[in-house]
Amino acid sequence: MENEKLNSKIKNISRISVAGLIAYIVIAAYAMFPDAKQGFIDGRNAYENGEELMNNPAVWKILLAFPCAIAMITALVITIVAGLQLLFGMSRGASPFTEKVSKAIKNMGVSLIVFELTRALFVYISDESVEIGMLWLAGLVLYAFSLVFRYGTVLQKESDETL
Amino acid sequence: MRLSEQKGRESMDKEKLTRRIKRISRISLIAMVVYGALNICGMFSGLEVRKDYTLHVDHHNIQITDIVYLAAFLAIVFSVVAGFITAFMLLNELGRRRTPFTLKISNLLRNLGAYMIITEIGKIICIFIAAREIRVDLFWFAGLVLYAFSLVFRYGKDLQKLSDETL
Repeated sequence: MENEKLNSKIKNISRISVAGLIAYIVIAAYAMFPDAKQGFIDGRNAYENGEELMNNPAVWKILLAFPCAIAMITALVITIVAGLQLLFGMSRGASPFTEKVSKAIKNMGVSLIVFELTRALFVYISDESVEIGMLWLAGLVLYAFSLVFRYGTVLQKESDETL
Repeated sequence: MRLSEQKGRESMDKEKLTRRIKRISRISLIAMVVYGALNICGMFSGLEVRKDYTLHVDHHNIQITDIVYLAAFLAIVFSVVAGFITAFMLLNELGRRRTPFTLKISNLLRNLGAYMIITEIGKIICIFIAAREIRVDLFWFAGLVLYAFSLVFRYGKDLQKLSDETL
């Protein structure tokens, strides 16, 4: 009975989080659109007028910045997808302890670490300054949580076999 | 015979996982301390502030918005400090206990989630009063997820109890 109550609470909060996250992403994308459009138009006009966009950056910077940007975007997309998978997984199943949820948390943690590392490298290339945020630590903690969820999966299996 | 083998393998799995959880929690704990120390050092090195969200209060003419701003600011300071202490305690507990599913860890997670939500609300109020703009970050979301995790840990506590009683 207690576990059922908890499970329904977990599901409700996960559903609220999913709705909130989707609303947040949509609003952020909507707010970003005019700036992105203006930036694209400015860049295109500057290119057509023959203006230089950057002051002759070194070749190694260009070669490093491009894969960094790709890795950053990929890690961000994986983080969002894994976050949604985690919340959907928690809001649907009979128990929060499943392999799927544990894997989603692990993916989220690893992609946050990758995102932070590539972001730090990207900032170093573009500004020549070192800026490290707290996301890598959040990633590490999430990785620990994924192991806790795996532990919980073992317990859940034991409990299901006992009952 | 096969059942006992399976039980043995599962308990081995649990031990391995507990060891890994403890190791990663300890690494995170050390990293958190180092990060906090570096931030404190950075605070006194006169780094450039990118955007000014401070409210310049006229001491002779204090308005209700100034009081709300001050209350929100104090709430942010309190929740950030309390959040750091709670995170520290949480990682310490995770690194020490035999099992991650305890009431204490669940309560610490719930508190951490609450502090994150308070920080976010306080920040929104401060920025709105000082700059008349609404800026929402993802702290509220992290807080909500942590609250969900605290409930999962409470659920896990019951499973752990059942498992301990069975063995």
